[in-house]
Parts: sequence; C-alpha cells; structure tokens
Amino acid sequence: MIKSNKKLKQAKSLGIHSLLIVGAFMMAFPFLWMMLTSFKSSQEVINVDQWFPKEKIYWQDTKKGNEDFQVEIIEDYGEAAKIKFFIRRDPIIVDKSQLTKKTWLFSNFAKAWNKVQPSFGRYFVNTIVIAVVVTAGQVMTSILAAYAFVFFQFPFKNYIFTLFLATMMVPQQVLLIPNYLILSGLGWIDTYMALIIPWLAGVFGIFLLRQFFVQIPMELFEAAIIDGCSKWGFLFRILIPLSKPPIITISIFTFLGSWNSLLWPLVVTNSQEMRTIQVGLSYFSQAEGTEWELLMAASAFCIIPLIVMYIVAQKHFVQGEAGAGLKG
Amino acid sequence: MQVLKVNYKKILSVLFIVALVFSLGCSKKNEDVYTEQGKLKIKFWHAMGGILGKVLDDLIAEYNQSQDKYEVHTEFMGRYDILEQKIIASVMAENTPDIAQMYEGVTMFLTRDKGEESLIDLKPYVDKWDGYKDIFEVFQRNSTYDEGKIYSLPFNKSFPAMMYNKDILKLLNIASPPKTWAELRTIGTRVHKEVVVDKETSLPRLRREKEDPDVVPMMGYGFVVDPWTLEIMLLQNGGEMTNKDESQVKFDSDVSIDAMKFLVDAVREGWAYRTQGYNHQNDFSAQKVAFIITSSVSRKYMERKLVFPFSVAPIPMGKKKDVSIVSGTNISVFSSSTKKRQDGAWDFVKWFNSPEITARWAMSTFYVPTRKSSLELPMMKKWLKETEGGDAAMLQLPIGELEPRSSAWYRCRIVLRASMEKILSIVEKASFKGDSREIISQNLKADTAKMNKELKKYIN
Repeated sequence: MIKSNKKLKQAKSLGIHSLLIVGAFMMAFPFLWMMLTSFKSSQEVINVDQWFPKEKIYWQDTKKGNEDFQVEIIEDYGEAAKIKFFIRRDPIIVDKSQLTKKTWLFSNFAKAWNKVQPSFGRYFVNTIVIAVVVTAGQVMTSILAAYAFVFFQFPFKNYIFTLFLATMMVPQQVLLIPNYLILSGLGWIDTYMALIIPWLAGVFGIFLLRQFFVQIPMELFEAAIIDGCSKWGFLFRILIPLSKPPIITISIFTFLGSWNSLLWPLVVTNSQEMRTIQVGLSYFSQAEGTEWELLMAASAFCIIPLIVMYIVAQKHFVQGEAGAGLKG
Repeated sequence: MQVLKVNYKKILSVLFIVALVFSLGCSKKNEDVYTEQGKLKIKFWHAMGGILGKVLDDLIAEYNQSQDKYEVHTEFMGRYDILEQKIIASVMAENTPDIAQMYEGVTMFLTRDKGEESLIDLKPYVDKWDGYKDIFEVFQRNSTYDEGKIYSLPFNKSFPAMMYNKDILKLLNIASPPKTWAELRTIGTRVHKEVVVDKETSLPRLRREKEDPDVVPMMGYGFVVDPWTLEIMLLQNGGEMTNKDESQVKFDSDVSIDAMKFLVDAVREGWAYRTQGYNHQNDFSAQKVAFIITSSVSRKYMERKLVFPFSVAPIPMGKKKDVSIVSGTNISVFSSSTKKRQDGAWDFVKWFNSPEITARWAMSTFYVPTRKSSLELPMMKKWLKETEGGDAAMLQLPIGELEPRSSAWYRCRIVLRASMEKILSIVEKASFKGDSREIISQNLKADTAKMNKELKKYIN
C-alpha cells in the first residue's frame, strides 16, 4: 500500500515536472530562436528546418571597405579558387588564403549596433534614462494619488476617481494628435520633457494602489495620527512598507511599458539623438522586407538589460507578478 | 478619515506657476536655421529605414556636398502610418518639416479636406523647370490635383513584380515566366503536380514515378492578401475601382467577383496558397514556392538570401487590357516653411528627380526612376544589361494606373483586405462544399457598402 502510494506520488511528480518542462520550453523557445537566428547568415534565417548556423565561407573585399561577402567555391585550383557570390556579382578567382570559414556570425551584433545613427549606445542611454525616471515618477504619483483617494476626504472624490478611470478607456492613438499639439505648444517636441513628463502619472498605478490601500484598516491610520505620526510619516513609515507587492508590480509594468514604447518616442522626437531602442529596432523591419538576422541580433542586445534586471531582482519580480492579480 | 481643507488660493498659485513654466518652455517656430558653413537647413521627414534608408542617406549626403546653399537634414519616422499621423499633427501644431514623403490620401487631406492648403503648389516652380515634361506621364497625373495644381512630385515609386525560381522552370522545360494570369494558372498547376521538395536536399526536383507518399509538393504561387493585386486584376479585366468622382467603389461588380474568384480557385485547386506577413518571401527564398508577387523593392531585401537562380518579371496581365498600379509615396513641400526654405526644398526635390539621381535611386533600390531620359543613360543601360529582371517594374511604367486618391481610401483598403481575408478563410477549408462565387459576391457586396460609407463620410 505504502509502495503504491509512493509510486503514485512519483508518477504525479513526473507528470507535473514533464508539464512544467514543456511549458518552460514553450516559453523559452522564442528567446532561443531569436538567439540562434542572431548568429545566422541571411540565407540561413529563412530555412526553418535549420536550427543551428552551419559553416560558411566568407571573402573580404579589401577594395570595398573590407565588407564581408558570403561565397561558394565553384572551382578549386589548389591555392586559388573561383568563388560565386550570393549577390549580383560575377564570380572571381581569389587566393584561398583570403577565404575564411565562419559558423557563428558574431559580426551580426556589431553590424546591427552600427547600422543606426548615431548608435544603439545613444538609444540605450535615452531608453534607460526615460524608463528609470518614468518608473520612479509614476510610482511616486500613484502612491500619492491613491493615498489621497483612500485616506482623505475631499470634494468630488468619487467623481474624480471615476474620471481618472474613464481615461483608461481612451486609446493612445486617439490622443496622439491632441497630445502632440500640447507638447508642440510647450516647445517640448524633441526633448526629454516630451518623452518623460506625460508618463509621470498613470491611472493604472493609481487604481491598483487604491485597491490595495482600501484593504488597510482606517484604524491603523487613525491610531498612527493619534500617536503623533504625521500624514507623511504614515505614508513613508507604514503605508509604503506595507504595499511593496503592488508597488513592485507598478514598477515592473511601467518600466517594461516605457522600455517597449515605439509610437510615442517616434511621434514626439525628430532627431536621431533623442530616439529610443525600439525605434532602432524598427529600422530593420520595413514595409518591403526585413533584415531578420540583424533584427534578431539587435533584439538580443536590447533585452540584455531586462535580463540583468530580472536576475538581480528575481525575487521581487515573482512577488510583483503575483501582485498583479490583486483585487480590492 | 481626514478631511482635506481645499485651499483654492494655493491651488491657483500652483496652477499659475505651472502655466508660467509651460509658457517659458514655448519655443520659437519657423525660423530659418543655418549650419556653421552658412547653409540653410532643410528638414525632411521620411520613413525609409534599413537598406533603403541607407541609400537615401548616402544620396542626401551627396546633395549636401554638391552645393553650398542648402543642407537637407533627414528625420526618420519609422513607419508610413506613424509618419502620416505625425505630419497631420505637425500641421495642426504649425510645427512642420520643410519636406516630407506622403501618400496621396495625406496630400488630399492637407490640401482639400482640411480647408486650407498646408502644402505649397509647386506649379510656379515646375513652370520654370524643363524637367517636368520628362517625368513619366503616370507620375504627372499622380502629382496634379484640382485646377492643375501640383502638390507633389514622385519620390519612391514601385510596381508589383513577379519573382520566380528559374531552376523550377528549367525542370519543367519552360523557357519564360507566365505573362498572363491564365498562364500562371497553367504553369503553377504543373509546378504543383510535377515538382516536389526533395527530402534530403530541400531542393526542387521532378516527381518520381514511385514517390514517397509524404513528399512535399512544390507550390506554384504564394501570396499575401493584398488589395493591390485584386485592384490590378479588376482593371486588367475591364472593371473600375470607383465611379468617376471617386465617391463610390465598384468592388461588387461581376468583374471584381471574377478577379477574386481567380485567387479563390487558385487556392482551392491547390497550386496556390495565401500566407501572412513576409512568409511568401521567406518561402520563395527557401525554394518552397515557384512564383510570388511582391513589391519590386522587396527584391532588395530578398536577393541576399537567394542561393538559386531567380529572376523577376512584371505582374501577369489579364483579359482585356495591360494595366498595372503604381504604389509608393510622393514628396511635398509645406506652406508653413519660409520662402527661403521652400526654395531650398524645391532645389532638393528637383535634384532628387534629376535623370542621374533618379536612375541611381532606382538601380540601388528597385524603385522605378521618375524621368524618361534616365532610361537612356549609359549607366542605366549597363545596369539593366547586368541585372536580370531589373526592368520588371520599369516595363510597367507605360501601363501604370493610380489608386483613388481620397483620404478615405486608406480605410477602404483596410476593409477590402479584410473582405479578401474573410472570403479566403471560408473557401480554403477542405470542408467547404458551397458555391464559392456566392460567398465572394455576398462578402464583396457587404464590404463595398462599408467602403462607400467611408467615402461618404469623407465627402460630407
């Protein structure tokens, strides 16, 4: 009896683990595919049956800016070889010492990095500055607004909150032109102000925190005040430490939203110096075609900061994601 | 619960300070800006990224070096739809660039729908320019608006082109690609029946007598649903897209239904298939399909991936007349620019449409040149000789037609595309046993009404 129970437990555990492994693989697959594609040649990326890059022959054209061309040897003459190009160019005979074999194309990363002007480095700086300031600002304003909505009484409180919620129903596209007009009137187009200030407050954060704060007993607030704690003291010493999960949730969503934003930075900036990484990525995908290997290489290095952030704050991420399901 | 005392004086003072800060932030607009070398800066918004953007940037750098009066500064706007939104917003905010590329719908919005002309009429400049009569006739029609006004000149213009795998034609002993849709059907069917994808090599080969039942047949024609194709087929078969004043579309006509039925039958017969995004390009590159129709410019992105002999031909022709439809944007100059900058903008537009530059633009991107004389340039002749299928788009210049230019047309196109998708998703199911013509007719009629509603909104 004990034995069969043990076996049942083992089978159950095996089943659960198998499911989890399949789930984990499904989640990791797009990432894995992106990484593998980023090392492939443009010919290899379209072959869906080929998982890993294969060995390829390259010839460097020293007369034309040292550009690397993938070639194929069509005739071997010992020390020299006749090579065929994969682009419109006549075959030529070259010394074999000029040919190099490559499998994993690390050069895709350098190509993608240098393809945009001024460089992805600048885009990274912009994106990090914007994402960090917007996240900090939005968390701060959300806390303050939610605090007021829950713990204080003021005229039209519920109406104002409903009005706040109503703004969530308006799609960003509809507001694009009016917002542009305001920013243009302020002379903020093509500045950090346009990229940061409109996002310093977010209704989602206010809503989420308000729903959390209403669960905290009012008696706690009143007791703190009676004991001589100031309103700010209650906020910083009691309320914020108690509200870590929703605050982390808001931080994650705001940071990711800011990191992945494309439409807004494109609309409110003009110069390349003010652009963000998502705008850089859009450079590789156009209406007429896509440079997949470069797009994947650029995507790979664009998510590195997010991965580092995830590794560093893994515990809080899990806490934060769990907090997303929070209800009032 | 604490009751907050509302201090209106405090609120008003905060608002006043905020307003003051905001007003200090307001920038001065519309001033001429000069470079350190004393050149007048001309701002140009475009949406050309990747390989095409690089070609454009190189050409513009050349323009900037070629003279000492103006310097064109490009600003990349990511995608056409975002560029369009931004142009409209910038016009309303009176914060426009000097030049921008745009589709005719936007040109119409900015010159007619908006009630005032946000773009300048280039006619006074064109009248003093001997190059205009050398512009291809289809582009002259494209640039000319009510009362003979010219609000734009051609910029990046393309035609659809048929890319084909020469190895597959060779296997079937077929000397030349299909010239008509009927020929495409015949050859496409043969490809599907007689050619397979070899399991070992993934290369095309002829079907053997004793064949593995799991062998993958080669597809004849792969396509993404695009109103462009249907519109061309409709015109080729003697139909019309709209009535004369472009107030009503005619996609519910018998000719339109016939055109759609060709695509439906192709899918139901098995030799053609519809796909999404860039998958037709990817499948062609992976030698899974013999023919695809795509923008002539897509070749620029694809040719680096093609490890087999391929070529490009014009889009197949129909039953009644040889027609194709030109696509791509034009370039316009904004009226909010100062006269000096408008002069500079015109100088650049004229330069870009000079025979040599338009020829080089075409040779580097597979867009079509805008000047007739560019085809006579020795460099163009040499390029055409060396580039098989390089003329696929250019051959369609004499038969080029235009899409309706109403600013509502973009929304009509979305409706038409959705209609085509819906029809194909119904009839391509193996379980579908009904009358495909009936399905096409019902859907096109219903969606024609929707499109007419969109056009009516625009007219009103």
